[in-house]
Amino acid sequence: MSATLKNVAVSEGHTDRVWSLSWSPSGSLLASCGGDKTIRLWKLKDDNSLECIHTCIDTHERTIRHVCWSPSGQYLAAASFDSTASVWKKVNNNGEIALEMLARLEGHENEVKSVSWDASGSLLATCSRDKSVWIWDMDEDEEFNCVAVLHGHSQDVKAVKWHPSKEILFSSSYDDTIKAWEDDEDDWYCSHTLTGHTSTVWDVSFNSDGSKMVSCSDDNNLIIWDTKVIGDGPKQVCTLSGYHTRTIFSVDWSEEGYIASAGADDSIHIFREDGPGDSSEDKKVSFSQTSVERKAHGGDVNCVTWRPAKREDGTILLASCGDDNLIKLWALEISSDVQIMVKFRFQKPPYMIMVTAIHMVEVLWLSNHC
Amino acid sequence: MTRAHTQVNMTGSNLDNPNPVVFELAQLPKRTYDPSNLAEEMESQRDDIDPLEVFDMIRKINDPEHPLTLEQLKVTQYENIKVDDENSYVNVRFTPTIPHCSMATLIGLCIRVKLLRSLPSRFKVDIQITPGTHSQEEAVNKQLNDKERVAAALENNNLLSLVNNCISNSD
Repeated sequence: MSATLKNVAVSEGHTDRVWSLSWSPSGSLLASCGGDKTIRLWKLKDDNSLECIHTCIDTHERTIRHVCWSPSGQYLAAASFDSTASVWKKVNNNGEIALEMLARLEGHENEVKSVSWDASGSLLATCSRDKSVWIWDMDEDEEFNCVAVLHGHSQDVKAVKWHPSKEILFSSSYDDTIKAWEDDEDDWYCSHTLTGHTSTVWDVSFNSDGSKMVSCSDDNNLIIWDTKVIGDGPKQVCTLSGYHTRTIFSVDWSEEGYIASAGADDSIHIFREDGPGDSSEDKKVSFSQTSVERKAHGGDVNCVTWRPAKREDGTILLASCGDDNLIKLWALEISSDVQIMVKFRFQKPPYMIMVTAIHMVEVLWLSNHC
Repeated sequence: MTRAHTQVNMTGSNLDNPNPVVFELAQLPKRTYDPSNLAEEMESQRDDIDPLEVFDMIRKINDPEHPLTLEQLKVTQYENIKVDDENSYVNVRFTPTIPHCSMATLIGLCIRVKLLRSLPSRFKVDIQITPGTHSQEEAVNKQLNDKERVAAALENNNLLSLVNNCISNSD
């Protein structure tokens, strides 16, 4: 199958680079943040455009680096270079949706880079340039207590991400590693250190059942990890090299199995795991690029994120943001009947090349000297 | 070791390299202008950038420690600038005056900020220490090319004013 991106909307509003995007779990709202120190809330309209319905200003003194919705869609967490994280509650005032600040999480020594909610929605992780990862517990009164301060990374921690179903936290760092953190009767410890990347690991993402993870790096590669056998630690199963030409800042794995990656080469790449019989005969896991958008933004692409739910008409949407201050929406156009190249046969003289495609007639090309 | 005159730099600590070698300015290739092409050049949509232009942007950046330009200290040299205009790419190598120079990151940051403000935004810029000229080469290079850390550094007012001081005479 081929799957290509079609740009369906461009949204202006931010006055500086946009760093991060997060869809609400229902896919009706998109939160964005960036160098202009604002958080913006966008409503997805029926025609796949975004309308800015709320802007939070004057809360963080410096860049807001990352935003993340809780699984319930009731809370939004934000990480800022001002060394704090904030938690916001979604409120509905006579039909007007807005965000009200619930808590400010202080403790990190310098820039907070990323925030992530666990599957239950009660634990929130934060990480910072101070090399530490903190885990916060939200109680029934919506108050936050720090339950763990995790040391282990030797450098700036770029991203934190909870496993989609298990209580395991993954963190990625400027020290080129990914660490897995688990608790043993409320004592959090580093259970695994994943090595493989040769430079900063910027982001990680999981497939829908959490059996695989993908990581992206300043080494321009994506690595796919098998996370099923957590006892022995996640194992590298595949490296996607030679696609991106500069740092990859963001990666997101959709429920439908598509991996989107984006970075400093202004491009967005889409990958998908090959099905049985697609290519490899030795049953090794392999991935293929299904499409690439080389000039996705007029500058670095900082974040890509799939809408968590298909639209009613089946459209799969991807949101991206970049150094050009823009947010873009893309529809994934999947078509099984335009893929060329299933079989390639060289005939005997007069040198015909035959190409067979799914749902298409055979195509015959004649070589130039017969 | 005692120094006859202990100089203090902007950051308040002793100088790394109190007596740097000051070089004669190198001869640069001359630009030739063909007046008959002038109209064509002015009409050209694309603002073509060449290494000489990039060198002009950074040659007069001041050293953080001395009242001298990076060109006078041979920290920046015309030969160490590569430009690929078609692919909107610039690569600048700079040479710290001594292998343990603690100012290397700050110098690199000054070059990055100057180019960020002077080059058209389509350009991707890599800044690196000339290979083999600094003990922390890899670490400094990694930091200078981490845009998140550069962005955070430039939100630090003390650091920003240091950078602005160094590049203030370079226009």
